[in-house]
Amino acid sequence: MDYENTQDGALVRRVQAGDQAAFSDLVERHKSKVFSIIHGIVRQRNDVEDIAQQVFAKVYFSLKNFDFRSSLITWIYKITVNECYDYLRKRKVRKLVYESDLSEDEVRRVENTEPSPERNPLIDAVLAKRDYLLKLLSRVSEEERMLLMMKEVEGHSVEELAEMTGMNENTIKVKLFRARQKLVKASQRLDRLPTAAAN
Amino acid sequence: MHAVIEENLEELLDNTNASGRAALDHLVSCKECAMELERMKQIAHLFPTLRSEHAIEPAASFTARVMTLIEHRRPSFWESIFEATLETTLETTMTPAFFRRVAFASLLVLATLGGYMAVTDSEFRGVTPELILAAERNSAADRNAPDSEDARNQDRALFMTELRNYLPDATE
Ligand SMILES: [Zn+2]
Repeated sequence: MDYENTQDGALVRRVQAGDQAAFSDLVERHKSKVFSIIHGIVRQRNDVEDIAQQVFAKVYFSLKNFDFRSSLITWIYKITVNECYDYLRKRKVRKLVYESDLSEDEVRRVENTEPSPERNPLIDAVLAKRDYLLKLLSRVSEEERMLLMMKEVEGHSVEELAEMTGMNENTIKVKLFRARQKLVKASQRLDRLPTAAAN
Repeated sequence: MHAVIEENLEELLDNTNASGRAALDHLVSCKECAMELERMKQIAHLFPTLRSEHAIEPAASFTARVMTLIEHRRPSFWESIFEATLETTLETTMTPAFFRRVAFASLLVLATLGGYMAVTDSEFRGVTPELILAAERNSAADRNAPDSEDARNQDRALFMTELRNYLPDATE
């Protein structure tokens, strides 16, 4: 696949040559996708735009290293997922710092009122599954995370993944197999799957 | 997990029936593969929780805000010159010999500073050039790869000049 001769490829070349307008075209082309990836992972509507801005700033400053060996979208996808993990890590630290100032009673009250006044058990189950999966995914490499999500969240086939990443189908299959094995190992460490209880 | 399952894993997880008879037969007879596949399926079923069903539309001003952010973060003209120079310098100088020179220079600074403080503290208190040179010789012995003799002599000459500047009583 010749990624340089795609519409994205042409825009990247122009950005690399210093054309700012070309980058705003790239943002226009990909912002909706980036917003939906972020929202899927962090679920905090108010923070999605901030994270998306960071993503595009990172894309911009790393674009000079873009070598056209994969499609631009796989590159953006990886940066987006990383930025989400960064955000989740910071939020966790903030929460810990915040909670260390509260008494146990207060923490319980804060935690019980945080998501919504009347908690929906169905939503809670989905949230628990998502948190669990995010924990598992933190145990694999950036590339493995990207491939797994492109396949299972975005619904791309192995063939499509091969085309987007510039790797051959067999390589994709081997990488997915290793990634899935890592997830299984991580899940064994994390005890029982919540699906067993939720299904 | 056995090869026949590994090779057909994605098809088995997709439930597309494209995995072929051999893989399905194997699963009937191999409990180990059947269990691992089941676990992988359970995990795969968690992924849809990461889909964003209610899309958030970026605000109309989003792209403009990104461009402003980039403008703020972009290094100035002089910073980019500095960065480019630094990159070239790093590429050409990050050799083992360069690091030895850096180590020696640090030692020199320390020794000079120590000597200077000894002088200002009271009068010069026994930090002799011999002592400092001995320290330099020891550190030279510590380096596993010998530096070129030339470079070491140059360093020593520079060092003695520094010493003359800061230690009024020191003589060669
Ligand atoms: Zn088997």
